[in-house]
Amino acid sequence: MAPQKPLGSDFYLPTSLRNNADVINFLRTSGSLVAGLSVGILGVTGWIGFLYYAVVHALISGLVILKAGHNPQQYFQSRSSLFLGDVFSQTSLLTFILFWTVSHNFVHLF
Amino acid sequence: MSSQGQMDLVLDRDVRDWVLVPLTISIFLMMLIRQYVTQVFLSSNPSGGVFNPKEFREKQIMARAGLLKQTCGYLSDSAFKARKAFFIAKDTGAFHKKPEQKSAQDQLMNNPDVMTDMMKKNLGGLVPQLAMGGFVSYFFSGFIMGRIPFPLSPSFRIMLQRGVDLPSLDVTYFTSLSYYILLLFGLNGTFRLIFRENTVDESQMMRQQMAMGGGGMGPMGAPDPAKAFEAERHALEMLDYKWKLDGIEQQAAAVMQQQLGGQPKHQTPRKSPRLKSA
Repeated sequence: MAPQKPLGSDFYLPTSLRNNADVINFLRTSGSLVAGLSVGILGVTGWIGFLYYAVVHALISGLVILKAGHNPQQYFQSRSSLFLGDVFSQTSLLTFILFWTVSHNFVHLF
Repeated sequence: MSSQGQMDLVLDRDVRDWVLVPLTISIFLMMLIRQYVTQVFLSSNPSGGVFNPKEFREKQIMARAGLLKQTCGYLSDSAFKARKAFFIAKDTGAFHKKPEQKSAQDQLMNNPDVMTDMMKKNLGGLVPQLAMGGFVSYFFSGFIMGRIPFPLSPSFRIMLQRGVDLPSLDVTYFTSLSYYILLLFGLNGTFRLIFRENTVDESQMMRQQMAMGGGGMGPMGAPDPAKAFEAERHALEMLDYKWKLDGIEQQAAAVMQQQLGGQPKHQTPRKSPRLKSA
């Protein structure tokens, strides 16, 4: 009766997990920042701007998976937290809105 | 101006040059100053308490119990029993002793220093915030500064048009005071990019204060150590021991054969799941 999964595949080091989560958080926030700035400079208004936000975050998810070598289970405990964890979090959404608003105001409004 | 908001306001360029830009820069710099002051304050006063070896020992015991719960499958039966006995044996087990650590409630009652420290921390967060709010409302009050680039429902009016009372104005225009609040919360992410985990988190502090005011739990959210011991003891008693390394020798041999690229030899069907324990 050999176990299906290799031994120790369910071990995660808490420090490494935290580090990985930090990296993802960093990526998400900086992605939101850049997305907000560029959307504002391009002069996008209305709900379409949030579409850009979604596209950027989908892109980030894809890049992370590529970096993880198609095996994100090795670095993250759950798949959903990798895809959705920080996308709807207060920090990255607020960063996006703030930089969108500010750059839009600086460039287009006056 | 119609209340439909179809008509756009013409905003003077001077408003941008003399209000929007200086306000943004000054708020950013003030947040930077607050960040650095807090860092200096924290580093000059590390932890604050006296080191107590017994409390430290208890924390370590808790950590070890957690580790045992997680990985007991890799221990042999006797080793597991010995560890379990160490934790929960009657009278002598580590979790049957009375915890040395005081609960947060007791600490508050007996030690006025803790109270003062907490007060200082709260005030340290509150005072700069009040000062900044005062600064903004003194110099920049009453300006309509810009526009949110997406449509919103009229219920956001209180949030976005603080300080200007014009019911016919389109909701998406925001005033200086609201812009200050938006910056205060929105720059949090940016600061986290720069300072990583040292960031002073405004909203988190607020949430903590809120939780403290609600006050079901003790302050700081630390659970009572005596109860934690009890819970840990019960968890260990219920723990289901299952040996995970069954047939590990055969598996290891198969892996090695595969690595070496040789043909798997005939394996003697031995039944000795136990590893030699040191």
